[in-house]
Amino acid sequence: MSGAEQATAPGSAATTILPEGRLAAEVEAATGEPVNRCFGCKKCTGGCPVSMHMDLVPHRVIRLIQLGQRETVLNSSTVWICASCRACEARCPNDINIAHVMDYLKGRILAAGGRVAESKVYDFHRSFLNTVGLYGRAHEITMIGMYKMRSRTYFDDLAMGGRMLARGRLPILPEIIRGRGQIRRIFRRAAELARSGRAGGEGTGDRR
Amino acid sequence: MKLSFFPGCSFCGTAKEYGESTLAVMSVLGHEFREIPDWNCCGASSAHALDSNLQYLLPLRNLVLAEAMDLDASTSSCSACYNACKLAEQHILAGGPHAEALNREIESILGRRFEGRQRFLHPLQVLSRPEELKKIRSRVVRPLEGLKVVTYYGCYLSRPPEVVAFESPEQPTSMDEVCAATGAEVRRWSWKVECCGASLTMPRAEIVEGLVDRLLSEALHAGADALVTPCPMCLANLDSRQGARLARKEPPVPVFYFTELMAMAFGLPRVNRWLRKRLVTPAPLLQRLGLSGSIVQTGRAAAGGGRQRRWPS
Ligand code: SF4
Ligand code: SF4
Repeated sequence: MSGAEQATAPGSAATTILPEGRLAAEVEAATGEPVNRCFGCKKCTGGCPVSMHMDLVPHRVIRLIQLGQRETVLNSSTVWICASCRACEARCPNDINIAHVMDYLKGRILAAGGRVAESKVYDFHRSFLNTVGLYGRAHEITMIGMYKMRSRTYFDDLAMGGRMLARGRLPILPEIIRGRGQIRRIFRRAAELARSGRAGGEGTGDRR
Repeated sequence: MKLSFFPGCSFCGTAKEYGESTLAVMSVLGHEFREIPDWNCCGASSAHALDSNLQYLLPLRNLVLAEAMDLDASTSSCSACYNACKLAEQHILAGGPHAEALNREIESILGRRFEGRQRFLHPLQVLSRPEELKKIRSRVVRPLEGLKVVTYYGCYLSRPPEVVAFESPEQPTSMDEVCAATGAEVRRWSWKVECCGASLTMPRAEIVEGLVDRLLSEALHAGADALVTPCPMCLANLDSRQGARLARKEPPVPVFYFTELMAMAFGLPRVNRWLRKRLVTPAPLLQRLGLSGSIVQTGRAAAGGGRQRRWPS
């Protein structure tokens, strides 16, 4: 792709952007994903099931990373709306694991204390993991309670919750595992590893 | 086969019927499942989103516990659990400094590291083998004739292909073959591995409703009366997010686990109890096809439906 590009950030007029390589270098180093290989074929966006709900469609995120548009990328709803279906990753001709890049960007936003464009999505993940940290297993009622307190969505889906409860699909009591001390250590060590700069990405577990 | 079984959290609640039906049909076919002792949540769709180390360490604990059981293989019928465990397994087996650091962590916590002596499988991987399909056909006492379905695999069994897929990631057929062996008619469609929106169902229900509506319409368009899935998250979304159809006053579309189709065809009596947990009841469809047997339509929870049941061990 040629250097300068007309890019329209959400809510702003068209501006001419000159490429700046630091963000791309940072993403490549941290994730091992070759974002600079992207040639804009848009297969990722074409197969993305939720692209119509994103403010930046997936290939734009990769392109804006190439151009060094840090603010625009980190403020976008896209990284949170991504459902991690991995269709983009499976189909990218340049082997870019876009879902992995999205996860990395979420981590960058949180580490920098930045604005979370879709806070309810973050609230959901946080409530889910806090429940697992507590019991060692997920428990819907605990998780939903935490989520509703965080997101202040007290009245969403109440009728459906009632119907699920009536059909025995929401157990009242959580299952608590014996090894929850081990789970707590896993949570603690995972966070410490992340702080020391060790995050997933090497090996083939998360990429081809 | 003797398999260590990782039920997964949804089998304690939202998808208890999937766990029970998996154990029931696998035992009919002569496979022995032993629950992994004190297993933990695999992190599902949230761990990777917020913590790339947690994403591997949570399933790794289960893999180590499973390996200590020393059986033929490990398995989970929940496709999200299968996906998380397979990703962790392959990440460690690929080696490298990050994998080694994670394995050292788990060793310091559990006193044992993951050696990679056995592989993590999905039950469909076993059931779609020719000899197993033959066994399934020989066990059918009530062929599901007239039941037209499409198979909906979702994301977790297919992607990332080089790590988790055990067949074509764009056109998988394992579940088609299993369903066909029960006598059901499997219709062709192009939406087998599309995403249902997964955990967006809580924070952005309207997105999931749109995706589900499209899937249901396409299933009907393909001539199916119902969808069949191996994924608890897909089933929960498909079953509970049919609001768009409701608003258009169109009839809802029932969804099954593939193990329930097998159980119906095998004539297992507990099928009734499992199907009563659906928000969209399949009873009218099954009655119309003369497949209902004793399956009754209930507006309210059946006896015992709300109680906690322990796993048969
Ligand atoms: S599929 Fe890959 S190469 Fe094509 S636009 Fe997307 S990221 Fe770029
Ligand atoms: S992983 Fe995310 S960005 Fe990629 S296709 Fe799926 S939802 Fe879209």
